[in-house]
Amino acid sequence: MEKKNKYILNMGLAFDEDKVMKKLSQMAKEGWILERMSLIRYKLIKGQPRDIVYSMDCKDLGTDADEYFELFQSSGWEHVCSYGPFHFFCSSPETVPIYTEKENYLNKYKSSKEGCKKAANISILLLVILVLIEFILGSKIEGKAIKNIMDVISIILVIIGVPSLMVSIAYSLKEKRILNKNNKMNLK
Amino acid sequence: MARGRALDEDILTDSTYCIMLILVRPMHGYGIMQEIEKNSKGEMVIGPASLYTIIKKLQNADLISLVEDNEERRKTYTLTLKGKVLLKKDINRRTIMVKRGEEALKYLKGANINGKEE
Repeated sequence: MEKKNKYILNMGLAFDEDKVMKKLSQMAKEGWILERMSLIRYKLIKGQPRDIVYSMDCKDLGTDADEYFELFQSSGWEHVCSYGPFHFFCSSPETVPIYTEKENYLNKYKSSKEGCKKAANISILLLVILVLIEFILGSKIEGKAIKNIMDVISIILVIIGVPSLMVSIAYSLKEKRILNKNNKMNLK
Repeated sequence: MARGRALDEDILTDSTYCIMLILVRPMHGYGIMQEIEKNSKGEMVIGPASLYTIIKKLQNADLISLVEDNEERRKTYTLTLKGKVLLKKDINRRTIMVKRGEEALKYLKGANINGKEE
């Protein structure tokens, strides 16, 4: 029997948003349509080939969801799926882009960037404190249990801190890229 | 910080300016989009994510507010007093800039007729 689903690995929208949007659009031409997104992957289902482009917006909606999705709907952007604050839309290639000005386009990532930055900063700070404690009191700490607990805490901090740091750096680079692109456009 | 630079310094971006011009009368989000398309002959387009974000910022800055309308299902907005004051100020600013532009344009045209470069 023919396959009905395909999956694309989710490598993190901070790193590969543009690439994923292009890839999804390419897949749609071959009849693989995005159905939903999860933490680890995008699920595509077999359907009619469509000539569409995808766009993602990042927004905490609260009670304004109806208004938000209606605006997209009436400007030709079909809501595909949402995952937390990430909302996926598709439309025909000629449709007006979802962001038409720079200021708010740049801010799209602001809240998730701030969150990651905070997580990175806090976990790195705690890690430094922990290492200092171990360094200063190392010989005085009695018992294996306490040392083990400290090791576990350090590992958890690294697990939180490193990805957060990477994501916030990725967002910063992306911001720079958008700004550069716009400056070049203005020169034309 | 971002909301703004534009709003805090009382200088509106073009998109925000166009939206506020329309909201001198009560209007819902989709209506704003249609009006902009109709009035600017395609010179100005505004995407749904930009529009939504700007509406929310204007609302948070107390420059527009919701209008109670039982017949209209969609959320309808209009300028607040504060919004009107700011808009008037920006219209004046832009009018002065256009006047200067027209003077410069006259000069440019004159230069062209005389065939002078620089």
